[in-house]
Amino acid sequence: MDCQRELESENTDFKSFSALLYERYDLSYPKFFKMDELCKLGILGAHILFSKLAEKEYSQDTAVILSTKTGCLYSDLRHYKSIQNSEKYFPSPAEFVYTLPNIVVGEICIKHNLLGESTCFITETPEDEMVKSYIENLFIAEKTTYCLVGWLDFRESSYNCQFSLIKKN
Amino acid sequence: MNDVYILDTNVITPLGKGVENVYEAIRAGRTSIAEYRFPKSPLPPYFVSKFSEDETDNFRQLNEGSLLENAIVEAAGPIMSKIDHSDLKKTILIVATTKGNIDQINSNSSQSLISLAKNITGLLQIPNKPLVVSNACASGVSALLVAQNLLQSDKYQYALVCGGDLLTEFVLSGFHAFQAVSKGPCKPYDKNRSGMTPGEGIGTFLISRSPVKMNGKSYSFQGSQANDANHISGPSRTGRGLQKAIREAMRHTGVSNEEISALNCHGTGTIYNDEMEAIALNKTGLADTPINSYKGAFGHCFGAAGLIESAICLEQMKRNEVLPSMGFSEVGTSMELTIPVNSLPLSNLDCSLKTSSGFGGNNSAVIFKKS
Amino acid sequence: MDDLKLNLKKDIIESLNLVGITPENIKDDQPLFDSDLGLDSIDALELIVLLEKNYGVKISNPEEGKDVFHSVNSMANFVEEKRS
Repeated sequence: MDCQRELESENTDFKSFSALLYERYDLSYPKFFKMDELCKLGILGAHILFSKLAEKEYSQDTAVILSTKTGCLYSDLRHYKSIQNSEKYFPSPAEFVYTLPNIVVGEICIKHNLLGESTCFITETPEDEMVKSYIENLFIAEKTTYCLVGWLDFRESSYNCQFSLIKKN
Repeated sequence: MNDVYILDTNVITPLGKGVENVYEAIRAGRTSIAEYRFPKSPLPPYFVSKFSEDETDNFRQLNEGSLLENAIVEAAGPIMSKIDHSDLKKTILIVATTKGNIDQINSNSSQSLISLAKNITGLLQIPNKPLVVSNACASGVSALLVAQNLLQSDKYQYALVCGGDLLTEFVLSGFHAFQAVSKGPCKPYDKNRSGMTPGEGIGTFLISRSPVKMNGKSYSFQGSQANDANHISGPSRTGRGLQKAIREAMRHTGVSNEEISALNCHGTGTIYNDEMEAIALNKTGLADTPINSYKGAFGHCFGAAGLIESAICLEQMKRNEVLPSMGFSEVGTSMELTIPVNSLPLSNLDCSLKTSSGFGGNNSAVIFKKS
Repeated sequence: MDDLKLNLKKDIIESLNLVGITPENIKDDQPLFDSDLGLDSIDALELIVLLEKNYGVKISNPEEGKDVFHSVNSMANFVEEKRS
């Protein structure tokens, strides 16, 4: 079974866009507002995807394999700025934790209670063939029966989230 | 999945260059951890493991890449000589890193992680697209398991897995904000532990799809990864993700807990990590298996940690002994662990378990077998 | 003191991104942790940064933090004490 949701938007303020989707899809998850943009994008994608499925249509063993190019660049820049002025030197733990591209994978696993393999790949463009082969090997080795796979990229000018839930045949 | 085989490994750390040198240094009780203060930074001095200025300048001048790229190529070069030039087209580069070229963030050159990997393939003349695995501090072991997965098909014959991270003010200021840095050099699993010791370094592995020998023996591996789904910066108290990764690794390799002769986990010296590991290891029947941590010797090398530490684990298997853990004197976890205080000789160390855990909840467990 | 408590509440809401919460929702003596506010270990560290950044007051020992951040009252008392 394939269940695909695509969110692609250009030239729209992400803060407004994400707040709109939060309300429209009834996210009801206050932690959302502590997240950086990459995590918000990923949490919205995963929430919309899973909300269309009954619980038995995926399992706690679901693997989460995400790829990104830009990763957490915006969080990097914010943290970097916070340590430029030695008179006002206040690095924030809440900002620093988001300077890792795989945190979005962690946030999705926490929200949906997924205990399977979780990996974040950094690639220039979506490497569909490589990722497909990777997941097939997980299925063949019986490491999991389901996999949330996707491409996730955030830049201020354009952000892109394409998620699929794949089930072993 | 099928096992994959290790052709060679190499490391560069502030404690030494080359696996044997670093191993001997740990064995002799040496450490590269010292007090350091970033110049012009309001950060207080901290105990860290850092390359000297001369070493850092040397890396910069070695080649055309960035500091980190040059250092990784310097480590990978010698092991790449184990395969023919004609095999490069059947080789994939996998890079394990958390922050890559973060030292360049103030320049307009791209500090994107994939640029780092592409530059390394250029310097090493590997014609295939590289892959970066960024799973926080679990990246190193995670990258080994990604390599194992990708080598199941015959698209590639070899995987060069390189891990590298720099200790920058960017990173240290973050752990400072987390109040996670140890007051003195870290004390893994010790009752007086108070945090982690940041470090930097490079670890490289050359892995083959087909059976090969290293030092006259065959070293193969398999493993598994699992997420804690607990908190983005803290493991589950019971280490449920680590337990799952360990159990699955044992299941996939067909190895029982009794057959594992040595352990090396994350052992950072923080209250939570070491406590979580003690619980997870007890729950998986590994409390009596000798365990150590090398982070008291060369600190926590983040994306490179799992690779550097795995290389030292393999050297232990070659020499049939378990090293003591610098910084450890008395166990301070709620459940018992077996931590040698002197080098422990074993009649045949043919199976060891290495795990890593990281922010974002990834737990990776790899089982190395020698035959 | 009331002004200080109001400012603390506004700062807590802003720095911890507590969307949909107003200062009126936070009682002076309400335990900040183990409550509906859903604060976690990162929030605790963030409050340490908040006190230093906005009030010039430092907590060097995380253990001290548990008492200081019990409630807005204890935070205000700590700030007043350090300032005098």
